[in-house]
Amino acid sequence: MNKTTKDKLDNILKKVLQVEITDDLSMETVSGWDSLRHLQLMAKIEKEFGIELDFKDTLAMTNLNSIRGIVEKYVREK
Amino acid sequence: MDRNLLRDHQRIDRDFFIKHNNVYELFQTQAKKYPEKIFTIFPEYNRAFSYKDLDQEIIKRASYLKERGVSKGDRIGLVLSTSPDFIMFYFAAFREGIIVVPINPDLSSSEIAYIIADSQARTVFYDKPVVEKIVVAEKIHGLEPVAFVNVSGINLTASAKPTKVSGVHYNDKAVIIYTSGTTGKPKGTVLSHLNLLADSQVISEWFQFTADTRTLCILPLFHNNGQVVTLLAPLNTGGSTVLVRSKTGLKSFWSLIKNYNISWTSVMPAILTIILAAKLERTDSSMIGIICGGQVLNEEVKTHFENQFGLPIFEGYGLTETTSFACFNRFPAAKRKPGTVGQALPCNDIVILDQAGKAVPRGEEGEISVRGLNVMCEYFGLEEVNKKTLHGGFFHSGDYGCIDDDNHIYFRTRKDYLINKGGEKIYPNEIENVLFAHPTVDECAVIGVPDKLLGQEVIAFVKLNSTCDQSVFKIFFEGKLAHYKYPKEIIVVNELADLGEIPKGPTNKVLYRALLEYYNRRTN
Repeated sequence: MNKTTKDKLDNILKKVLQVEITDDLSMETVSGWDSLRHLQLMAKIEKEFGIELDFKDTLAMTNLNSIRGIVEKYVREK
Repeated sequence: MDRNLLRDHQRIDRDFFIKHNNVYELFQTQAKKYPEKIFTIFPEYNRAFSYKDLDQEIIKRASYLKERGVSKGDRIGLVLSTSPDFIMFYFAAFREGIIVVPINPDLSSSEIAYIIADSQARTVFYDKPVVEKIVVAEKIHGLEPVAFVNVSGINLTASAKPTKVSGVHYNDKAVIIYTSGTTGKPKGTVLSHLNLLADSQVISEWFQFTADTRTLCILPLFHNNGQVVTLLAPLNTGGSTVLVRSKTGLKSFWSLIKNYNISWTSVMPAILTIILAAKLERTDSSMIGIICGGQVLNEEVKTHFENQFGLPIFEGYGLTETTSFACFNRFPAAKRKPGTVGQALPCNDIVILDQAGKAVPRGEEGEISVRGLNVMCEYFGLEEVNKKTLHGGFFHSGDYGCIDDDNHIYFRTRKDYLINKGGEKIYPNEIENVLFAHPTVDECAVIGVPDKLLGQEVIAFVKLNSTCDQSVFKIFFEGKLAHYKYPKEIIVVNELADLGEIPKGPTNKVLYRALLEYYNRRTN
C-alpha cells in the first residue's frame, strides 16, 4: 500500500472511530466500533476512494490489516 | 402436554399441541427429513451447513461435553458471537439437557464474570476475540472452579462417536438469557424447551413459514430475538437461515438479502432508521416482510420505510420473559392494524391489569400482563423479583398499554419511561413520532428528566442530517403536539463531542437510561 493511500485510510479510521491507529486495531478492541460506525466507515471509504465494496468484503473488514488489504485490492484494480 | 407440570403463569385455557419434546428433537426431525438441505449459512466464515452436516458437528460436541463431565442440568456459558461454534454448542447442549447461558462478547470482563458467577456455569466456551477479557475474568474471585475453553483449541477427533440422545423433557430448562433491564444488575431469564418450542412454532405458523423460508439472522444470538425468530422459527418448517453479526451486517443488509434469496428478517426499530438514513438501496425481489419489535416503532419511520422499499413491516411486542414475541400484527399485510402491536399469539393470553391486579375495561390503559407456554419459568435465583413479577397467574411486564374491542394491543411505554410532567402523563414515543416527521431528523429519543417544579420535564435528543434551529422545531410542533408536551430542550447529538450518537445496545435498542445518565452528568 502506498503512503498516500495508507495516510488517507488512516485518517478515515481516526475520524470515524475516533481512535489512534495501532496495529491491533479491530472491532474487538475499539469499543465504539458498532454496527452504525461500521456502516459509516464503509461508506466513507467508498466515497473517499471512489470504489464500491462487495458485501463480502464489508463483512471481512473488521480490523486494520483486513481493511488495508481489501482497500489496496480495490485501489489496484481501479 | 401435561398442564399440571406447568407453572400457573404458563397455563392457558385451551389445548395447544407441541410437536416435539425438546429443541434438539425438533432439529433432528428436520435433519432426517431434509438431510442434504442447507440449514445455516455463515457469510463471514464462508461456511454453510446442511442439516446432516450440522448434526454431525452437534453430535461431536455433545460427546465432547459428556467427556468433560458436563451433564444434564449443568450450565455452560457461550461467550461467542454469531458463529458456527455458537450454533453447534447451542444444539449440542440441548441434545444433552445442558442449559445454555449465552453471553455478549462485547461486555467487559467484570460483566462477563458476573453472569458466569450468577448462572453458576461451570464451563465457559469463548473464542479468540475475547481472549484478553477471559484472562482477566478467570482470575476474578469465585470463578476459580470454572473451566474456560477456547473453542479454537478443542480437539474433537476423539469425540466423533455418536452417543445416545439424552432424555430431555419439554419442561427442562434450556437457556438462561441475561437481560440488561432498566435498573440494577442483569437478571437471568430462565426459558425451558417448551418456551422455545412454543414461541418459535407459533411465529413460523403466524407468518406461514415453509421449507423454502430463508431468514436473515442479523440480531445477535446471545439475545432471544435472534435465537427464536430467525433461527428456531425457520427450523420449525425445515427452512434455512443466514447468520451474520449485526456489527458488520448492516452495511450489507440488502446485498445479503439479494445474494442469499432471503424472505424474512427480524430487526429492532433503530435498524430501520439506520437503513433509511444510510440511503441503502434495495435490489432483491425475494423478501416477503420484516418482523420488528423490541422498542416502539414510530409510525413515521414505518411509513417512510415501507414507501421507500415497498416491503411490509410486521410489528409485534414481547420480551425475553415471553421468549420473544407475545403478539404480532396479522399476516398478510392487509390484515395489520396500524398503530397496534397486533394480537396475542395462540400460545399465550394478554390482559391489561390495574395496580390491584384487576383487568381494566377495554380501551383503558394498564400494565400489559401475559400468561402462556412462552412465558419464562422464572428469573434465576431471584425469589423476591419472581414474587413481584409472577403472581396471580400472570407475568407482569412493567409495560403500559391497552386492548381494543378487536383484541388489538396498543403498546404505550415502558413503565420507567413514562414521563409525568406536573401530573400529565406523556409518552416519549408520541413526541418522537412528531420529531421523526421533520426532514432534518435522522434519529431521536425523548426522555423525562427531574424538574423541581413539575416533577419531570421533557428532553429530546436528535441526530440531524442538516442544521436546524430550535425555533424551527417549535413552529413544527404547532398543531401536532399539546404545548405541555413540547420538549424543554432539544439536544443535537451531532454537535456533542462527548456523545456524537444516540447510544444503542447490542441489538440497536436505544439506551434511554444512558441518555438520562448523560443528561444528569451534563447538568450537574
